[in-house]
Amino acid sequence: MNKTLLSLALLATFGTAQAAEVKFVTNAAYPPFEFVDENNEMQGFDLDLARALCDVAALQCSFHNQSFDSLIPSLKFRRYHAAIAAMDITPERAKQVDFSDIYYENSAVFVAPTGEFDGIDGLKGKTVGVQNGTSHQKYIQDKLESEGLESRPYQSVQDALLDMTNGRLNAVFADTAVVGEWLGKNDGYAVLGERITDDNYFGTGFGIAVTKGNQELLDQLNQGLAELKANGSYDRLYQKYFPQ
Amino acid sequence: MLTHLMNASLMTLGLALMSLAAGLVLAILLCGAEMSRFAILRWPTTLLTTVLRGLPEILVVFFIYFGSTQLLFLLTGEYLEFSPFWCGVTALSLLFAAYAAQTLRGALNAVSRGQRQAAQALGLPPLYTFVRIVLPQTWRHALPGLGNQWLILLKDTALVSLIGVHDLMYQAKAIAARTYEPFTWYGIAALIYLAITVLSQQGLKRLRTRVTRYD
Repeated sequence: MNKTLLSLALLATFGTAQAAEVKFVTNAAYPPFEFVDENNEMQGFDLDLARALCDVAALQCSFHNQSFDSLIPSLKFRRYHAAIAAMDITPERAKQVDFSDIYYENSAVFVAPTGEFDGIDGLKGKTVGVQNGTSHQKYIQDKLESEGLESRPYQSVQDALLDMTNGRLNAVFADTAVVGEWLGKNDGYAVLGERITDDNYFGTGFGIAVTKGNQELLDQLNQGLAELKANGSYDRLYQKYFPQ
Repeated sequence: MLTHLMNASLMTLGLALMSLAAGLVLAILLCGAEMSRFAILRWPTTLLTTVLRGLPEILVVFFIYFGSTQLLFLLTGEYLEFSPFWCGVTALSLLFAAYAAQTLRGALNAVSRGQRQAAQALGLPPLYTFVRIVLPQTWRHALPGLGNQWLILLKDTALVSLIGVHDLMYQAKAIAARTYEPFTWYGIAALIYLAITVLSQQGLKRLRTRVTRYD
């Protein structure tokens, strides 16, 4: 127990001494935006972008991995300074945290076994998997559950996709890019219907969330983002992950 | 990838052993307090063990990890970092202690009164009686129960993957998410857990033959 106390004390002092470090948090189970690679490093579009931002803004950054539904609470309690996790900017979230400028334009799609349903209307009375705490979950609950469509929450979108291949789900509702990446590696499934955008849920785009009131960090991130877009780094990164 | 799984398994083992060490000490303290003559020690201990045994393990882990920092934040307005590892050890050792204390209490009660009375008749001092006569017999009764608790503790370590400790479960999840091969990697993780439990069961068997060598 002495050891525990000692390390807690060490951590506490370490935490204050390194106040300049910006702690980023993400949920690294969301390829291609964030995932853990063969070397156990967190990679992905978001991570590369955040690292580039830290470079241009000359920030000391560290990256941490937590479950998606705990990201906003941990920003509120200042466990971390910023969250970059393919997070849609929504009015509801903006009440809890502050968002940077949009760094990725987003839309959402349903994915289902090829040819099983005729469009999204065919999903009435069916079960659709979503990641817990996402705007996709909220969208289905608000807009589609009244029409008899049932949403089932999962800890990660990967779990939902797995359960669809197991046959427990009729479809999964998630970000277009994530579904696209998964479809590239799984046969027999296809996007169902049109891409969906809705400014109250998604389609506004992804933003980096920071603790409410941390204007200094927000300015640094926004300036860095503008700089990356101006000098072409952003486009190169975009091409790397989302080749046209 | 296998080296990462190895490292993660070591993390799981480290977590479990740390929690076992801290938990055993705590269990002895809780057991002593619960059997104490003083109500002021007895009541809070009973309350604590009742609460710990009444809550799902995952809630205890979340309360300690998220709750501790939140409470401090509300009290001081400052954020203080508690590492996921030590929060995990704290939660797991508290849970272990709450159950193990009962096992120890039962084991102590199982040592027949005649043993103490005989030592008293021989004029042996109370502390000596406890350490040399009662305790060795207590272990014999406690070991099967504690062995069970250890196996449960070992598997409960998987819960701390949810607060970001890089344990075996966390690692398997990360690889499964990247490779889209959940069955393979969760299967490998399951085999590793199984290997660890089989090995520790062998260890427990040896311990048991040792403490019962005079039977």
